[in-house]
Amino acid sequence: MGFSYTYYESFFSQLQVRGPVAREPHLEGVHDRRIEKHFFSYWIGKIGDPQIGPFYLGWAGIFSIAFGGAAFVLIGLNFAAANGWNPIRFLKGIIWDAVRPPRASNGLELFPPLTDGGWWLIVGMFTTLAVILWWVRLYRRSRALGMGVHVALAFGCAIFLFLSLGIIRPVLMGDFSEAPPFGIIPHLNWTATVSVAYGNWYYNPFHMLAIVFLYGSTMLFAMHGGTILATARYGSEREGREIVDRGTASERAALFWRWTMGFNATMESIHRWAWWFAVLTVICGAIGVLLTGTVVDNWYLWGMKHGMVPSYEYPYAPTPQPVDTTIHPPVKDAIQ
Amino acid sequence: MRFPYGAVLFFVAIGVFAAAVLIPPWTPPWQVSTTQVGPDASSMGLYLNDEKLSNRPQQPEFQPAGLMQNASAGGMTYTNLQVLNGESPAEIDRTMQALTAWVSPDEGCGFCHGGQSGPDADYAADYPRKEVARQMLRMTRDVNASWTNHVGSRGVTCFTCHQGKTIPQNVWHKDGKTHPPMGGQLGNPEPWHTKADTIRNFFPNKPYEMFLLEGMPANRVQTRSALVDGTAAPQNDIMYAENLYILMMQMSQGIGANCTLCHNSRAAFDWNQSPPERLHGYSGMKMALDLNRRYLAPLDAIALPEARGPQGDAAKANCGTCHNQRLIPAGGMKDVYYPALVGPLSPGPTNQVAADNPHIPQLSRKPVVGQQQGAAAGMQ
Repeated sequence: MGFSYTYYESFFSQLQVRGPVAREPHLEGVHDRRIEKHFFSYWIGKIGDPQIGPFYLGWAGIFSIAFGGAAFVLIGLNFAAANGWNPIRFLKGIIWDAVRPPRASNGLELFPPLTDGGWWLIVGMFTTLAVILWWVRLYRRSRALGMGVHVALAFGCAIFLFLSLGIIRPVLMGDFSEAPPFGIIPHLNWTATVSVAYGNWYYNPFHMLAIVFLYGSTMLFAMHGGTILATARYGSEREGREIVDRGTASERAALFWRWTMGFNATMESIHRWAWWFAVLTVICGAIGVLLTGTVVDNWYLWGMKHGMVPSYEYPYAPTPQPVDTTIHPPVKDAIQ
Repeated sequence: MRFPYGAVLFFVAIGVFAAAVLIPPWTPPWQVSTTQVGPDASSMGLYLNDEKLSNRPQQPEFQPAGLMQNASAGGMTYTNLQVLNGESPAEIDRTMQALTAWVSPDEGCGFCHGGQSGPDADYAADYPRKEVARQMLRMTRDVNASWTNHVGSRGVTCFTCHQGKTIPQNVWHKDGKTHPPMGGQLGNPEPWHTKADTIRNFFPNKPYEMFLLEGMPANRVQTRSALVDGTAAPQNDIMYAENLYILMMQMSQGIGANCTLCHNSRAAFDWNQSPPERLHGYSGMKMALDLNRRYLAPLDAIALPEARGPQGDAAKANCGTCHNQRLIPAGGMKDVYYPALVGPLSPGPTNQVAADNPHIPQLSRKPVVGQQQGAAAGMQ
């Protein structure tokens, strides 16, 4: 009888066992009480561990969820009010609506009118507090479990990009209106506008690097996930063990990559590759953001200056820039 | 046997339903042809909607008075002429018939002439709509005489915009003033047009107001220096930039073309690498601005209620008013010439754009069809 996935079991396709709740190991440091509730879910068990809970919230978690929830609700209330509290209009408008930063003339004014950026500042402060408190929680829980803090560091880098866009660069520019609005389509429009306004962000080398690391991350993710799934039948899903005691799964995976591209990462280094690619995505992105408008005003011209931009043979002659001498006085409001 | 994918199917169905409700119609790719307009590797492709271009509305044509079978033979005497004085009665007859077929085919002469029709009507009497029609004729005659740098020899007729409707399909008004609820403390409504049927029609009319009515400068978004050099950016205001960006989207929606018709998108500001089509776009923007300021905004005083927007202003023009999503608008005077729709031609540049830019050959064309061909050529 040949190999059959139907009867194949590994840590990835585990039997769903129902029993006493899995307890934690010895915890280090100070910690709050957990919420001692748990339940099992068959469908969750299809994509992960079927045991949900017990939960650990702690003060950082409680306040993080409170601030995040407040920001979410404030955005939702603003959207609902903007649509006249009409649920159908609210649903249809949800991708178009926005809570916008203050207009440029308000500069760094901390208390602009509520509907002219005030809500944006409040919601921005709440989201900032929420992500920072979530970071505190990640950091403290990793310490409590005696882990390294790699996850918290990576999340911190993402927060750095978030804050670079939302607060650090606007403050450097002296103008909150440079920040993106909260809203689905509006923040995408902001992205397109900022790219063009600063002379085509694609010529920003840090944007290029961020793209390299972002796409690289997805490629590494696919390569690593594929490799481990492909060698799980030889025990490679026990990744931690394979790091210290390389078995036939590791050997086959390594050989596969040496055959196909001449080089192989190790069971340990592949995880550092993945971590650094992910982290460098947001770090490069943040550097690119912080340089735009503060140091570099036109990335296309910057690229020209440094020989990055190719020159083309155009099928048409250079188009002369029109001269515009017309001065338009304001239109008199002629409505009777 | 138990069907194991119920939950998956349920969420897929929800997703499909949500997409059908939320995503407006769009042009499927198989209706779009691509033409390379720039250098290799520059991603400069022109995307045109084939179906839109092949379904061009046909303008009803009326032959010159002498050729017409049922010419009124000067039976009508015209008094109270304010725009068409100087044209022969037969030519005015012909123009009035054409105009009616183009603008109010169902309503007939009475649409502007106070509900009267037939040979015994008092066509000299004035009515509000007749006054609007006069302004429309003045505008058309001015476009065909003065803005040949944009409309060329083809020119425009009433049909170009109206296409059988009393109000053209694509006009714009100032957006309604938004009133945040809760005493103005919560939820600034976005000015999107939620009844729009394409994504670009969702955009607010603020950019039209800024650039096609107030004439705010559209060249002050991108700086011309690589580094921040102490001089302030020409327009340090992201919302200003976004409104210009939206105008560009509305413009490309209006003429049914994409950015690279006029721009090398890697450096949108740079005229040197822009295709010459950008000059047509530029003069078109200036023409829309000129017409809105001189002919359409003044209609605020006399426009009828159906032509007014939420703020009470009269309908105004943008690129899509004439173009209707076609690179070359329908109608115009391609084969048949309507002299009453062309104002007095004058030698030399006839608008400020042409006067400021004598070195641009595209901006100095004159009508070349019909009976005024010789006269126009003689003026060059």
